[in-house]
Amino acid sequence: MKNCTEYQQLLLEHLYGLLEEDQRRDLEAHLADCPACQSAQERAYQEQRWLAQAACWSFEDVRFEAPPLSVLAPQQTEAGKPAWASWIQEHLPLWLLAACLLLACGLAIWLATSTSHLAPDWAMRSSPPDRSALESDSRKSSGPLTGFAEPENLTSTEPIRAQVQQFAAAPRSADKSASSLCEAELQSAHSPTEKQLRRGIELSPGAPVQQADAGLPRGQAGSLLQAPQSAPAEGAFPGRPGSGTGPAVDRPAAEKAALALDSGKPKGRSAGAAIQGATRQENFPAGLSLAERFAVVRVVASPADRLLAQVEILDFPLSRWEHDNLSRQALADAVRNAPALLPSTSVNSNATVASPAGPQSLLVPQQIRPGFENAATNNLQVIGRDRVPVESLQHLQQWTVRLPKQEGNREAWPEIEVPIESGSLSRCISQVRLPMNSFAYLPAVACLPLPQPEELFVQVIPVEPRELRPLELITEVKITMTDDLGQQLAPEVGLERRRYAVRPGNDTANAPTFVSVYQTRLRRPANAPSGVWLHLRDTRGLLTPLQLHWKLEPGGSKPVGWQHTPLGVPLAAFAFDTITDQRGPTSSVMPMPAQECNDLILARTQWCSASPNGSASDEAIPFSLVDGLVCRDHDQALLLAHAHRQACRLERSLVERLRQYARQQQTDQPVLTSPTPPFVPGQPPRRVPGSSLSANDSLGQLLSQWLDRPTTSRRWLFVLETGLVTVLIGLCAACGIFGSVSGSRLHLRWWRRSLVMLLVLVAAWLAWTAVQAHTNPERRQPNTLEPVGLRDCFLAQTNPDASSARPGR
Amino acid sequence: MAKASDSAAAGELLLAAFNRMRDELLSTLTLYVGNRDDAHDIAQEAFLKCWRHREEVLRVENLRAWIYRIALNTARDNRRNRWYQRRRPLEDACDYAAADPPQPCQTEQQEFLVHLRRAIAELRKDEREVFLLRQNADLTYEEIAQLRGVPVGTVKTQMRSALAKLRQALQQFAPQPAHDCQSLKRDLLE
Repeated sequence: MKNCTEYQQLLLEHLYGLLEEDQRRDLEAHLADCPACQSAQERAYQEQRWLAQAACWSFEDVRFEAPPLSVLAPQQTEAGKPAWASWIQEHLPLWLLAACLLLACGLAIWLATSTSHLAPDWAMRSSPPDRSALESDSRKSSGPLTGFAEPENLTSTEPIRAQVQQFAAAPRSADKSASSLCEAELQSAHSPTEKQLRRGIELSPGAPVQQADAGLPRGQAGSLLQAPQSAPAEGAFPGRPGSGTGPAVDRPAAEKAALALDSGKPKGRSAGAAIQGATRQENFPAGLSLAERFAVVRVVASPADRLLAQVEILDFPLSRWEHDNLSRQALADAVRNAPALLPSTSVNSNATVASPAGPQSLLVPQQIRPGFENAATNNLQVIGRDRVPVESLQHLQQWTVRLPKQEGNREAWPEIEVPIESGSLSRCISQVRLPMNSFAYLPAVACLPLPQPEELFVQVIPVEPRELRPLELITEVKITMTDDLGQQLAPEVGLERRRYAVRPGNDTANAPTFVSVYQTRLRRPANAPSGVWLHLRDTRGLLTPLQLHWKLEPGGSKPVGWQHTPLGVPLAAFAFDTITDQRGPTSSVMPMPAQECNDLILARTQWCSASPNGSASDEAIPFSLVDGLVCRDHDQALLLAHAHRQACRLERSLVERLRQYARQQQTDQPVLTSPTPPFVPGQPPRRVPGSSLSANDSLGQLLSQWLDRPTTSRRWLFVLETGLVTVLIGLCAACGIFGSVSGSRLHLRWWRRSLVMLLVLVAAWLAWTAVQAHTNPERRQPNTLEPVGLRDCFLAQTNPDASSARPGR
Repeated sequence: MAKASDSAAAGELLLAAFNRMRDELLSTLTLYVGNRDDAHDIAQEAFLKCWRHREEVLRVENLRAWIYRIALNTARDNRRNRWYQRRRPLEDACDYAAADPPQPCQTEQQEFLVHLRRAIAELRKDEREVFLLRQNADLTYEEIAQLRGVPVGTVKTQMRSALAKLRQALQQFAPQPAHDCQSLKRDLLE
C-alpha cells in the first residue's frame, strides 16, 4: 500500500504513459479517493504544459518551400567539386592526410622488402640486360653463325628445364630449396623421354648398355639413348680447332636409333649442380688432397632469351667439399689428426686450409680471367661480367654473353671459349671450350708433367656431375692429337681403364667405393708445333668431350696447358699443380696420384675380365631391355624401370611446381643475374645469398622488382596488388585514427569496412594458397621448393650391396 | 505521367508535413544540437534529403517518424563532422530566451522556460532524444524504440530518467502562483 507521496511521484510518468497497466489502475483508483493527490495531478498537468512549452516554441520566420532544381543537383558543391572531394577537403585535415601518406609509403616499402626474399635470384638484380638492345644487335649480326635451337622446337618442359638451369647456376650458398629442386630436376633431366620409352628398340651389341653396371645413379639409363652433340656445326668457328673440324664421332647404332627417335628435338641443356652437390661429407674422396683446386666451368642458357647464356667459373679447393657439414677449423683438425688419410705432399696445403687468415693466404687463383676470343668473329658478345666471393676460398666469376643466332644445322650448338691466362690454375688450364651440349658425366682430367717435356700423362676420372663424386663408369675414351688447324698429328689413342677401390680410412670394415680411371701416356710427335690440341672423346657418349690444349713454353720443360670442352653440364678439372713433389711415372703403367695413399686399394685392373661370360670385351656383355632402359641384369632393369617411372612422375610434379613458382614470383622470364653483390677487392667476402638485406636496399629492391617484371601487365599487376593493400591499410589507419580522435561513428564505420576488406583480401589469399596446395599436395609452402625424394628412387652406386650384387663383380 | 504526378503529390505532401511540423522539428533540432543556426541547417538538409526521396513518402506508413529519423540522422552526422568547428558551450550558443519574444509581466515565466530548456539541453543525449521524440514528435515508445534501434524498455527507462531530472528542474525553478498585471496595479495603488 503506497502513500500519497509515492503516488504523486508517479503522476508525471502517468501523464507520459510510462506506467504499467496495474500501476496505472492502482494510481487512478487512488486519485479518485484522494483530494490531495488530485491537486497534485493538477500540478503535474501544469508541469507537462511547462515542459511542452519549453520543448517547443514557434519558428514563424521559417517556411519550407520546394527547392529549386539547381539545389537538387546531386553531389555537387557550389565550387563544382565532387562531393567526396569537398568532404575530404572539409573534414580531413592536411596533417592527417600527410601522416596517412607517409604511413602508406612506409608500409609499401616494408611490404616490398618483406616479400623480396621470396623472389628468385634474378629479381634481386639491380638491372637486367637491355633486351631491346640485344634484339637490335642480333638483327645486325651477320657472320657465320652456328646452329641454335629455335624456341618453337623446344619441348614443353624446355623452358622449365632452362629455368632449372638458372636455379642451378646460382652458387651453392643460394637458396637450398631451389638448389635441391635443381638437383632433383637435373636428376630427372636425364630421364628418357616418352618417345624413348617405346618398346622394341633394336640395339646392336655395340650399344652402350653398361650404365647400370657402371654404377650410374638416378635411373639415367635413358640418357644413354641420347646421342651426344659432340660435333659442332661445320664452320661454326672457322680457324678454331675443334669447332667443326675435330674428329668425327663414331656413334653406335643405338645412338643413331635414339637420334632417329628424337629427330627434330633439341637436346636439353643441362646445368651444373656440382656446386650444390659438392657439399656432402660422405662423398669426400679419400685420398685426394684437400688443397687441390677445382675449377667448375659451366654454361647456363637463359630461359628468357635463347641468345643469352651465362658462363660461370667457380674455383674452390677440394676442402670446400665439406663446407656445409664441417667447418674449416674442424676440417683442419680432422686432417691433422689423420695425416695418413692424405698424401704427404699435401700436408702444407692442408695447413693452409685450416688457416683463419682468410683467402689471401690461400692458394686461390686470383686471376682466372676468361675472355672470349671468338667473340669478335662470331658475334659472341660479353654483356656483363662479375666476380664475386661466394664463400671463403671460393670465387664465382660470371659472364653473361650473347650467343650467335642459329643458322643451318640446328643440332649444333655454339661454343664458348674461355682462356684462362694466369693464376695457379693456369699451369694446367689455359683454355676451356664449352659447346653447349648435354652429357651425362664430367671428366675430371689430371695432367701430370713427366720428366720428358715431350710427354704428358693424362688421367681422366668420371665424375658424377651433381656431387662431383668420382664414380665407376664403363665407357671408352679416346684421345686424338691435332694442330691448331685440326690436322691430326698422331693416331687416335684409347685410354686404358683402371679400376680403383677407394676405402675411406684404413677401416677394412667399410665397403670400398670403386672409381674408374682412364689414363694414358702421350708423346708429342717430333713435327708437332708447340701448342697442340688433344681431343678427348667418349665413344659411348657418356662423358663430356674435351679439347685440351697442350702447349710447351719456349724454355719450359713441363706441359702447361690443356683444355677441355664440355657442354652444358659443369666441367670439373682436377689440377694437381699444388702438389710440390711431382713424382713422374717411370713405367708405362702410370699410377694415379692418389694411389700412393694408404687407403687406396688397387682392385681388379680390368673390370671386363670379371664379366659373366668371361669375355674381356664390353660389346659381348648381354643386356636386357625393359621399358626402353638398357641394363645388363634383368632385375636391375626392372628396378631401373621402376625408378625411371617414379622419376618421370616426380619430374612432372617438379615442372608443375616450377610453373607455379614462376607464376607466383610474377615472372616467367628470369634474367641472368648475379645473386651476390659486386666483389670489392681487399674487402672480406660477404656472404650475401640467403642473408638478410640492408634497409637501404629496400627501395632499390622495390624498383628492381618493378624493373624485372617482364611485361607491362605484370608490372601493373604488381602495382595494383601493392597499391590495393597499401590503400586499404592507409584507409584503415586513417579512419581508425580519425575516428578514435573525434569519436566519429562514420570514420569508425569506414575503419571497420577497410579492416573487413583487408581481412577478406587476406582470406582470399589464404584460400588461393590452399587451393594451390590442394592442387599440388607436394607443395607445402607457396614459396618453398622442397626437394622430393628422388634420391629414394636412385639405384645409388653408393649402396655397396647393390654394387656387389651386380653380375660381373 | 503517373510517376510525375505521384512525385508532385508526394512533394506537396512532404512540404505540408514539414510546414506543419516546423515548430516541433526545429525546436527538437535546436535542443538536440544546442545551436539554432545548426538546427536550421540540419532542418534544411533533412528537408532536401526527404525531397530527393519524396517518392518514398507515399509508401511510408508513419511520415512523422520518417521525417524525424532523417532529421536526427542528419543531426548526428552534422554533430560528428563539425563538432570541432562549431561546437560552443551551451550557455553561449543557445539563447533560449530569444525563443519566445519577451512580453510584459512574463519575465519570470520566461526565465523559467529558459531554465527548463537548459535543463532539457543538459540531459544526456539519449535521454534528450527520447524526451524530444516523445514530447515534440509525439511518437509512441514503440516507434521511438524502432527509430533508435533499441528495446522499448530501454526507451522507457531513458524517458523516466529524463523526467526525473526535469522534475527536479521544475521544482527548482518553478514560478510562484501567477499575479496578473491588473491585480499588481491594484496592489500598488492601494
